[in-house]
Amino acid sequence: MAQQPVLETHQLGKAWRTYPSGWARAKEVLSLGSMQTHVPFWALRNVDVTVPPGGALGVVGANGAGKSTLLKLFAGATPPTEGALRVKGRVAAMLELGAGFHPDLSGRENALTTGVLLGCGRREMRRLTEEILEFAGVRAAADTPLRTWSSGMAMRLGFATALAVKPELMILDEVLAVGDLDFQKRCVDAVSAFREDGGSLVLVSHSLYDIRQICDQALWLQAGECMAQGDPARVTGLYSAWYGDRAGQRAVDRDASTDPGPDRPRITRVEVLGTQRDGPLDTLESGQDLAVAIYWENPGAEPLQLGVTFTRQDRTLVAASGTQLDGLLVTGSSGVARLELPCFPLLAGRFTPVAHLLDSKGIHRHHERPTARDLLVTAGTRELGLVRVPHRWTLDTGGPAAALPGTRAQDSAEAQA
Amino acid sequence: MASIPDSTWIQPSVTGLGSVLRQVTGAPLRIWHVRDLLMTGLARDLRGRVAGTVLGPLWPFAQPAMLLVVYGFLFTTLLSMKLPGATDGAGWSAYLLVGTLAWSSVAECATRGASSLLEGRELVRKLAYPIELLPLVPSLSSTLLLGGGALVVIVLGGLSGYLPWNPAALALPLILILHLALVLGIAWSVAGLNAGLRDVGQVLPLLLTAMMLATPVFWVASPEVIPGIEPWLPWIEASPFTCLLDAWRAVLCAGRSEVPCPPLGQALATLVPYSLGALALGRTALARLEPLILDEI
Repeated sequence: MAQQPVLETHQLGKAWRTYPSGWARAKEVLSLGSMQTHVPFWALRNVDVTVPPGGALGVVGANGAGKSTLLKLFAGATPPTEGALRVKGRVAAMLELGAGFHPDLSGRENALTTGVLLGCGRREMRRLTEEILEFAGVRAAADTPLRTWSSGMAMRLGFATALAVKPELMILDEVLAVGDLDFQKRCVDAVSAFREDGGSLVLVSHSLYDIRQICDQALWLQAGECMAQGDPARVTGLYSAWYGDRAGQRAVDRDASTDPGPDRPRITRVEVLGTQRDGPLDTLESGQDLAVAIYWENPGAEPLQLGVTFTRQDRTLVAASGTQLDGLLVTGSSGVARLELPCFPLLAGRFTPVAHLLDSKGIHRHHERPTARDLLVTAGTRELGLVRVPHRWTLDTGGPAAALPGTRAQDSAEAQA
Repeated sequence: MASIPDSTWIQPSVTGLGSVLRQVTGAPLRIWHVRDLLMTGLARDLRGRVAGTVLGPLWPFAQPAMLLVVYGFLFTTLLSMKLPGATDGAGWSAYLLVGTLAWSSVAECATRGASSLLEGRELVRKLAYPIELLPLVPSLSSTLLLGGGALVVIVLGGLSGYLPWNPAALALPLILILHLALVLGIAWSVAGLNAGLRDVGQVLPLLLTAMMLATPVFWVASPEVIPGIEPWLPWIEASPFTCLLDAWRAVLCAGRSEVPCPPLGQALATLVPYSLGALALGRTALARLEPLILDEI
């Protein structure tokens, strides 16, 4: 039997309270809750997650998706409205670095107070304080009031304190994104070390890179609902595709694609096919084989050119293939063209395939037709960027970097970094 | 594979009778478990009171000492106000001094208690600080300072002959416990109410002023001093604040027989039900309001 999870939730939901009027609020408060006049506002519903010892859960979602509510529930700062959760061991919730610091007390006193707040004994904290001040690099200022400190120093102290109490579960809300680059690196290193020691982590971040690199499972929340859950690369891919889509930057306005009419050259249908003959496809794993079928009509039987483009939400043209570029010409009064794209190299994202019908010189565009639905590409890997570039590494650890045969010095420096 | 949630799971909070009862009766044990947190908060509160001052920790003792000198000077030399049956103003000034010290602690605990949850909201929101501690910290620190002030009054009063030493002063720890229970009960309830409904904090200063004037802090509840007070006496005597001040005067002013107050034992015994009642009611109010507070804060 597996070890008991560090964090478990069961159909977890949270509704905040809203009141139709001030009087309704007064009624509920003054009756000590006997009269329930509030209207629930659901911030989160039906969340089921399990974080095993040593596991790391990444939470992504747009603003107002319920991420902070979820973390508050995990931290025990607010009770659930429905469902249940269970947390094992000491939790260090860093919903904000330096929360609870008092500006008039010294760094040493604040470290002690925060450590006790995080569940450490006073005696234990007195022992740990020197260690914390050392790690945060603030020993010289340890006995001056915190208001004389820079905000970066205070954040370092907060982070060092939370690490020092050796929690079983650490909850981080965007804290990896604060502070200068040096501090960010220290944070990431410290979090990695914490995980190597068997600590569990819940991380909310807008940096999908951090989620993919640090976490072993991810949860995508949207308007309090769980949209996707599981492998971080898959979940963050789905999220970024959805996010780009929602930003209103549609590559192609399907309604504006005007049909030139039955007596002009036109595309009647375009669809994306997989390798199996199982009909149109709208989701694809990066690296799979892909084909685009274009059904066209040409009443005048004039010579034509065909093309297929893939456009991302931000209107970036990411790939294009044309018969003209490959020295081909389309003739006849109707037909089906099939473009095969083996090992489709685009990484996770949402793309719009568009078929183009042009005159024989490729100047006049007769008709453009996007597929009925966007193509959603998912990637099971942690690779970054738009495409997977074929590559090969050569690692030379002996001689000087410039001596590496056939490679620029810059590349080998990167390889060693 | 989903396990059925049992008692080890954190589930939606309920405010039924049993749950409230558990919260109220479990409070001492819960507070004991987080005593380190309480001590840290208390140290922070006490330090924060004198932070940046030159006299520092001497201030809590200097203030009652100065009050004693000022009252003593005012009522023995400047104003010729005397208690019934007294030959000089010393008794009257002792009566006022003790009343002022005790009442200002009550007012402070109510005021600071009312704002404690709102001021500590970051701690609750970000660090899941137990909400029952937030009103407890100022109540405890105020009571401790009142204890310090009472010691100053006992020592200086005895040395100067202004308040002759009397064994009743040995009951100081007892009256401090009863005082803490009463003010904590008030602080818990106003803290909960004000966190849910800010109007409570607006009304509170008015209520406190009215309460101060209706309590014999600056006057003596006796027909000899205030003619025509007889019909109100039962009400005044039934007030928990009257009982509190009577008990304080019984402890501190026993050396001056002209100061009107009930015998020590009777004064303390009358105060006990009020203190325990306030404590239970205050914690019940907070328990009932806790789910609302944790959502709203």
